[in-house]
Order: sequence, then structure tokens, then C-alpha cells
Amino acid sequence: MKLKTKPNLSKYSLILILIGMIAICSLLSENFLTRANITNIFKQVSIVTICAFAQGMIIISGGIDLSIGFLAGMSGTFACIMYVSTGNLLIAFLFGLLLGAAVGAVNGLFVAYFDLPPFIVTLAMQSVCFGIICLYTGGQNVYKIGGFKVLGQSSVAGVIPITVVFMLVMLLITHFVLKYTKFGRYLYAIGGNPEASIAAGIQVCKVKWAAFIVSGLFAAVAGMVMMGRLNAGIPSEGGGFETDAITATVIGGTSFSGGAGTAFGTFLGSIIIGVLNNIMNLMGVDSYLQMIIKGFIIVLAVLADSLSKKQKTSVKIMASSSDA
Amino acid sequence: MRKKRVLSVLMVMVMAISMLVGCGKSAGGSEAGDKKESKKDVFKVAFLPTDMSLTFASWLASELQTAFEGYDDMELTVIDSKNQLETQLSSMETCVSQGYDYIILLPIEPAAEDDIVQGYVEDGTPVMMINLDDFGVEEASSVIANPYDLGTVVATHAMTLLEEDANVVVLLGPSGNTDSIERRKAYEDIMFQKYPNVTILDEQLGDWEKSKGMDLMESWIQVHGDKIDAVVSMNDAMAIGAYEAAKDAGLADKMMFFGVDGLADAAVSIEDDELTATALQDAKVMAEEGARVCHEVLTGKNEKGFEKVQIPVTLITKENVEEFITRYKENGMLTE
Repeated sequence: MKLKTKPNLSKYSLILILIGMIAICSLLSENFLTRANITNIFKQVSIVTICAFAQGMIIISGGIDLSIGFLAGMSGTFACIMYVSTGNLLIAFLFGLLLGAAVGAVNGLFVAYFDLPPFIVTLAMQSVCFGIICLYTGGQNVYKIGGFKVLGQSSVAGVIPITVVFMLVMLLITHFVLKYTKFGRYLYAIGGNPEASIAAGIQVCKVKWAAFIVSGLFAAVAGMVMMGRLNAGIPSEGGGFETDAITATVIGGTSFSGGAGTAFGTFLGSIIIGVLNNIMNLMGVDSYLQMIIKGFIIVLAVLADSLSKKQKTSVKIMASSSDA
Repeated sequence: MRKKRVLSVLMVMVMAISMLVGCGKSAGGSEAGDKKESKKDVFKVAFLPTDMSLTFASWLASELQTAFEGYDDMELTVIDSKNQLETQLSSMETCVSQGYDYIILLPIEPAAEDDIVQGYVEDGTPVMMINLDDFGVEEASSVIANPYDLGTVVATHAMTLLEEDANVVVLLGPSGNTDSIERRKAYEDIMFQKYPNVTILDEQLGDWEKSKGMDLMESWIQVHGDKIDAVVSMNDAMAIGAYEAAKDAGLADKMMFFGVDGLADAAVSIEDDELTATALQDAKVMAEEGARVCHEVLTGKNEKGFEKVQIPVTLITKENVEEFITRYKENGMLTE
């Protein structure tokens, strides 16, 4: 009963792609390989990457979570509001987490226990989340959030931006959960072969439900870090993160049909997109051209990755998972 | 069985919550569409905003509500278009078929909506384009603050502050957005043409978003560093994002940041010496003018059946920002 995959080879192929990109970029722009710029890249990808970790876990379990972006916007903004009224960062942070978990729990409830398609449930939740925060704020953004911005604008030891610290902590958590916990192994099992996992006695519903709660928690963290970085509570800023997160996970080698993927892969996938965006901005590439180039490079990266996987490993068994 | 029970509990909860929310709404009295019992002699007016989750649209909606309260023979219903042209068009259709007497349209794409509006006007439902208009329909009323004028006042002010050979970076709104295009055109005519030595170091789409403005500025600082004298942004959110990035790099004091929109975020930012200047399209004036034109058309006081009004735009700088802070606190856009 070892469905756990060993994606080392695909991980290396991603690293090679990234090294190649870095080599090319440092030739293209002398500003690329500076400490400040590398810090920028990490800063800019950090929030989407946190969302991508959540998305990765859900996709591994055979689901998808489209509510991540707006959930991040909602819980982040509510946390700002909480901070402004209480002045206590810990309370605000916990409140944000609670909201994230609550929304995740609702998502999970419908997906796991009522057997509704996650695509539809979380799509609907997007609109609910955005509606709730807009109803509360009357469509206004929250300004003057004061001390809340330490969540996004401070740095640790004066060098590492706090957003990057958050990203790295979430990376380690995700890695640990996926690799060393029963819950993590169950996610792979459920995504890889749902029928077999039921037969093996895994409580599929519970695991799926828990996965969405975790996803909600991650989205809330991302949202609060984002509002800290923006130094304001802007609910709409989260929109679109869910798709960026999907892109990062898929570039990172996560199987879209579930059952395979790693935290480090997702991390690398996100960095690859970040490097790409960064070099195009450094070179002042035209906005419209950027969109086209980005699209092509994403396809190329996934193609290179999948080719290398096919060559080097016998492909993992992927049961045709009936998309719950 | 268990599922059913959970479901029924859930439904009860949803109902309870929606009742609470509903009550809260009517108690607040700020939302539209609640006034169901319409008297026969009252004109039914529909307001179709672009997207009620946008700060300006929701501000305009509440100002219109206030303005309409001054007339006892008109009542206003707000129908959100959620930034979907398709939704806005079908809402318009619904309004006409339900016998609304007047439609106030905050258009998403005026050029795309002209023909349809033309049709409704000819069939007898007067329409007003508010805030944005490409003047494609002769007989439609229009109450707008010209986006070009908004660009003009900030650009003119920027010229008094910047050297003739300044280096600037430009942040644009979403591709194809009329506001962004018109404001950019004003900068072109007012500043870039007259100061030919001004260098545009780079110009990118920031999609109106603060985070995009921030990301772009971080990259620009890598390439151009303190060579950048000013950030010229087509809205405030991106300009403030750029400021945050510059502040982080310790360069904010050497640069100027110009936005457009003049809403609460910008007022706060100007007060804190972050943003240099912005221009406001005043939703209050716009709503008052809109309600007046609407009333005159409906009561027949306006015999032509339409009127085109341009409301003036206001430059906001450190000198006059206090007045707007007070205003935004009064109307609830700023809380403290």
C-alpha cells in the first residue's frame, strides 16, 4: 500500500530548468543577479507561493480550490479590521486563521460529505467570500492599518523579508505534512486511487474535509501577509491568485489528476514564474508581449518536465480517478 | 439520514443569517431595492453601476441614493453589473421590459453599449450615461467628469514640480480601459509633448492594482535606482503601491508620486506626505447633477429630453487635502 511517489527526478529537472533560466537572465540583465533583486523575486512570489502550497495539497488529493484568492482577500481584510479595532496583532491573526478555516470547512463539507464537485463549490465560494467582505465594508478598502503591516513589510535580522519567512515556514510545514504525516500520505492515496483508498479503510470524507480546512488556513495566512505588504486591506487584490497558484503547482510537477506532487516542486514552480516576470520587467518588455511570452514559457516548462519524467522514470500508476 | 439532518440544519442557518443580514440592511437604510411598495405616481429609476465592489461605483451609488431622497416623486433601484458587460446589458433589457421610467447607466464599455442605448432611447426610455461617456448617443443625457481632464489637472500640476529633463515611470490601467487611455493621453499632450526631454524609463500595465504597482516599482528600482524622479500612475492604488516599494528601498523621499481618483486611500496618503497629487471626480456633485437632470427630464421640464453636463474635476494636494479627509470621514469612507 505504498502509493507515495518518489518525484526526485522531476525535482531535479525543475532545478535544471531554473538554473538554465537564471544563467540566461544574468546574461540578459546585469541587474538580475544582485542581492536586492533576488530578494525582490522571493518577496514577489511569496504570497502566491503560500496559496500554491494549499492548492498543491488539494490537487494532490484529486480536488481543486478556486476560492483561495478571494478567501485570502476576505480573511486578510477582516484581520486588518480586527487589528484596527483591537490593536492586538495576535488576536487579529488568529481571527484571520479562524475565518480561513471556517470557509475551508464549508468548502470541505460540501465536497466531502455532499459529494459536490470541488470546482463548482469553491467557485461559488469565491463569490460568497467577496460578497461578505464587500457587504461588511460597503466596497471600501481599509486604510491606516498601522502595526498590521509588520506581517508584510518588516524583515527578520534586517535581511530576510518577513513575507519570505512566511513562505519558507509554510514550505516546511507543507513538506512535513505531505511527507511525514498519515494525513499527507492519505492525500496521495485519495488522489491517486480513491476506490482503493476506501477499500484500504481510509476515511476519505474526513481527509478531504481536513484538506480544505488546511487550504483555508493557508489562504488566510497568504491574505494577511498580503495585506501587510500592501499596507491596506484591499479585498479585490486576492482575486486571480487561485489560478496563479494552479500554474505554479502544475509547473512544479503536481499531477493535475491527483496523486503526485511535492512541496518543493511547487516552490520551484513558483520561483520559475517569479524569475520570468522579474526578468521581463527588468528588461522593460512590452506588457502585451509579456503575456504571450509567459504563456509559451509555462507550456515549455511543463513540457520539458513531463518529457524528462517520461524518460527517466516509469510513469506512476495513475488510476483514472473519477473526478468527485 | 444524517446527511439530510445536516443539510436541514444548514439551511435553517442560512435562512437565519440571511434574515439577520436583511434586517441589518434595512436598518442601515443604505441599500437600494428595498422599497418594494411603489406608489403609482412615483417615477421608477434604475441605476446600473459597473461593479459595486469598486470604491468609486459604490460611493456614487450611495451619493445617488442620498440625492434621490431629496425628490419625493422619484425612487431609485440599484442593479449591480458585477463588471460584466453581458450582465449590464441584460439588466438594461430587464429594466426596460419592467417599465422603468429612467435608466442611469455607469457604463462598463460605453462604445459597446451605444447602439443598444440608442435603441432604448428611441423606444421611449430615457437613458443617462454617468461618469463615463463616449458621446455616441446624441439623445442620451450625460453627466461626466472627463477622464482626460483628470489627467490634465495632475499633469499640469506635475509640470510645475518636475524638472524639464525628469525621468519618469508610467503605470497604466488594464489594457483597453477608457479611463486609463484618456488619462494617459492627457499626460502625453500636457507633459510629454511640451517637455520633450522628459524620459519615460518604462511603461507597463499595472491593472489598477496596488500589488502590481509595487512589484513593477521594485523591478524598476533595480534597473534605474534613484534615477527615477517621478511615478506617473493612471490611478492612485498603483501609485501608492509604487510608493511602498520606494519607501522599502529608502528612495521614497527623492521621488514624486502622481495618481488619479482622489478617493479615501489617496487622501490619507497625501496627508502622510506619500502621494504628491491626485485628481478627483466628485461623486457627490455627479450624483446631485444626475438626479437633477433625471428629474427635469421625467417631469418634462427639460423639453429636449436630455442634457449633457460636465462636472469640474478637483486637484488634491497637500494644501487642500484636509477638506477631503473631513468629507470622507463624514460620509463613512474613512473610519477612525
